[in-house]
Amino acid sequence: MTKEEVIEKINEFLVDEFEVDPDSISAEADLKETLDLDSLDYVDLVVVIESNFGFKVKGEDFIEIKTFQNFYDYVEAKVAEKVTN
Amino acid sequence: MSWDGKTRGNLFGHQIFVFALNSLGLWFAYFILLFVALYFFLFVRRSRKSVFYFFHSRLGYSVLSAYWATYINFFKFGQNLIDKFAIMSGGKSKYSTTHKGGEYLDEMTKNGTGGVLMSGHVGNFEVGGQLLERLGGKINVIMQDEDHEKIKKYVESKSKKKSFNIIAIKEDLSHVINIKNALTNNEFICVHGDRFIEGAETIEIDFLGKKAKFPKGPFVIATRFGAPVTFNFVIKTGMRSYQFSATEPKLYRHKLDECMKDYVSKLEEVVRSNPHQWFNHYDFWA
Repeated sequence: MTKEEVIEKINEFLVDEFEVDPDSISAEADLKETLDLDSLDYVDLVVVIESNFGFKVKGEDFIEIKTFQNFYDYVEAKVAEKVTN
Repeated sequence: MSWDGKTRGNLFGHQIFVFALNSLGLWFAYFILLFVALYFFLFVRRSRKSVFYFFHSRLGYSVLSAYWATYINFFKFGQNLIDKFAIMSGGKSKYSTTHKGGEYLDEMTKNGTGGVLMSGHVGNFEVGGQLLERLGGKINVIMQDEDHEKIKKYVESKSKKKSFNIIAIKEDLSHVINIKNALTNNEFICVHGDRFIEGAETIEIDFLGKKAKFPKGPFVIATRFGAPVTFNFVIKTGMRSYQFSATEPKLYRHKLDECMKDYVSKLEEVVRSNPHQWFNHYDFWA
């Protein structure tokens, strides 16, 4: 899966599942603020990531994720790691 | 007013406390506690006020009885802390425990379902965590952790064996993912259902005849993942004895209101029977 495909898939489920305005998504935007995530949404986001990309998310993984770009990079790295293993 | 999220005491104080306990024994620690409880009763106004209100206005004690009950409450709180340290420092064998509903937890372990063990600030929940070792399943305790990492590390270093995993509540919400992972791995989650910190979402519900604020988060956890939920309390019944009780596990998937109602009703029953062991020392009334 290429980086562009990962980004496209992420944006797709953010729009579909979290009803995010596509125009508000930009690489440097704050992920939590843009998605207006409360703790329950957070769980939903993790569930969606796990089912779409097939890897397990750990709580610590999300500490450094602030922007959409961080989020794309994280998912891309995890997908690549999965392929390598 | 919400709880400020800080447990009283610093690392040095805890070290002295553990030293005194180990070298001078439980009776001596309880004796010293008579004066420590008096100090807290006289000088920690906010806690005294909330406990006095609980006894006087909610349970109908006379003014004098309510003041006396408040002092006893502080003393019992100290006893629970001392016992917690004694047990965590390897003195568990000196305490005895009776179980009421323990078979429900055994069943949850046997069936491999894990689940949510919900408790409150009545009795000695931390001792309960130590007593749950026998279950064999992985136990995760959710707690406020930011300010007292050092104290917990010290206590852990004194423990003979780490009996549970701590999931610390963090602002970055990473704990939510760890809780979700624990429950989907059929592990146990221990959480309090009766205390909230500033900014947390709360729900108002009748408690002891008045609306009180309860945190929404623990009930979201309890009802979100379809894990069985049981309400557990550990009450001190004697110098070195405790009673552990558990309700029959129930599935509350997407039934948050029902879960809260059942919890508050059970909590009320336990608090009415053991008012001197109700340790929610802050104003949580709506």
